[in-house]
Amino acid sequence: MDNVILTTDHLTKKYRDTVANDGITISVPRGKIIGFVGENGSGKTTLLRTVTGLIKPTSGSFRYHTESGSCRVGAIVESPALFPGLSAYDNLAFQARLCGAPLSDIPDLLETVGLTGTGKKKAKQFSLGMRQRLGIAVALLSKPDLLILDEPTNGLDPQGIIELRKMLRSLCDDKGMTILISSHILSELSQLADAYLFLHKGRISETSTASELSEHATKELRFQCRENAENAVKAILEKGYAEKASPVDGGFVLYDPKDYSGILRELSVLEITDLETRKASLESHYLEIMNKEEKS
Amino acid sequence: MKNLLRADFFAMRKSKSVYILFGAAVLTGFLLPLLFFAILKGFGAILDSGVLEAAGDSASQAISAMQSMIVLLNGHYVFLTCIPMTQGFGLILTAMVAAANARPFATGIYRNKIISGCGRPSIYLSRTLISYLVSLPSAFLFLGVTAGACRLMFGSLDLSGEEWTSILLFTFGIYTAYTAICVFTAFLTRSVPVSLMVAILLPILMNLVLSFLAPALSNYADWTRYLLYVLPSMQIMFITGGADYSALLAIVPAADVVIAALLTFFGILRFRSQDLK
Repeated sequence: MDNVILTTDHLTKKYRDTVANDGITISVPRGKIIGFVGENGSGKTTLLRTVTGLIKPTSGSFRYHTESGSCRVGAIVESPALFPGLSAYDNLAFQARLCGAPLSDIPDLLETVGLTGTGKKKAKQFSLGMRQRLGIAVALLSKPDLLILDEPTNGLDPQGIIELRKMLRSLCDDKGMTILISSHILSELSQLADAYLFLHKGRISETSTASELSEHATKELRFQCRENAENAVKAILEKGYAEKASPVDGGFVLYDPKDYSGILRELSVLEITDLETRKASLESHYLEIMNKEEKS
Repeated sequence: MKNLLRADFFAMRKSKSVYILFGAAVLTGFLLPLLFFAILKGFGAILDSGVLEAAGDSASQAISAMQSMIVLLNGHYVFLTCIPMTQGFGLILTAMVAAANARPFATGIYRNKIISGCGRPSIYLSRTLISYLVSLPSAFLFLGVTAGACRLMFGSLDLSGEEWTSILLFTFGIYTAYTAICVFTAFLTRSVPVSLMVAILLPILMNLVLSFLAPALSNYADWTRYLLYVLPSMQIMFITGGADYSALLAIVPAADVVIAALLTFFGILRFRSQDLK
């Protein structure tokens, strides 16, 4: 269990007739960034709230694997917890007193999240992005073993998102921090996470590492042409050059192409305007899982 | 618990509402005696001007009423009359205590404390202690300013030791109970507007109901008068009501401390079992 920081055992949370989490059993590897992926109401936030002690599970249990049995956790769940009437420094000074951290850590932390020059400006006067960054600073003050972030890129501008990504990567790689992130922005998550937990209707529908996902990701060949390409695509599928195809705007996507020269031969009768191959994205994989789940 | 108290004390020091509350204690404590003083001076001026005497016999009743008031309005009387009016200041105080304890539910501060590893009983207890650090000094500040203003304006207070003891103990008891009630309702409702409403309406409603109910009940059973003694919203009336102080002194503060302890206990139990958003 040395490489695991958190395990849950059949965690279930029920709200009257609704099952928010249904027997979730997971092991969270230490020192990795784990992405929680799922639709609204899939139980991501409930799971994060349960492991932070905010809500009590109806049944099941969770355990932190540290020497003391408890774990320093920093988290932003839903929105950053801040005193609106206090400055960034004072918000961090409150947190420093709460978790016994030295006040001398505050200037560095303010610099890390880019809030050094805010002076006496109150948190309620901050933009959404600044509040989010201050929330992250609050969460980091206790030097947590586990950082839990629920939709951390909410309100951040593109530059802020890039900086946050770099910061989280560095916290994980340099300081060995474990980070759990729940996000709707899958393209963002795919650039950051080392492993994924896919949730659907309160259950874990799949767990995989980023490399597994990349290894098994279906390849796609996307083309656009001026003519009707239906006959050519039909021929490609009949000859087994690709697994399946679906029309897109002005062309087709061929999934899992097996014989590129065969495909190009069939397409040579068309005037191709655009052609690209790529691996299926996290988004496509997620949609595939959701489709499977719906069908089952 | 030590870290929690340090953090909560820091937040309290940084909170504007604490300073507003102390300001309100000074202001209301000074304004009430000033009102009586203005009445006294006003009556004196009217009598000195001879306007009423010129009006003839028809004004004689008004003259004698004003003369009696001037005799009555000494430091002792005004001070004892101002104390039950603490309910006005008490409402400001309870409203602020309730709001200060409900707001962290909206800002996520309680959530953050739990995530940071603080136990729920410690969070509740720390908030209760910090609330006492605000409510009791401000209540005694109000009392002190009122006493000082009365002495300044009317010369002497002329209070017996027994009166002082009962006033101090009653003030301690009533605000101990009310602070616990406000913290309890704030943690129960988790909403600033609702807890504010409860904090303000509860004493008013209880006073109204009890003032009708208690006399009716006392016709049937003598023990029901103790209802008045143990309920904080009614106790304020007895500070200067000419009641049997020695009997009340044993009941009132003890009842208040028991109420505060019970509410804190049940508040912790409730907070422990609740899910936090």
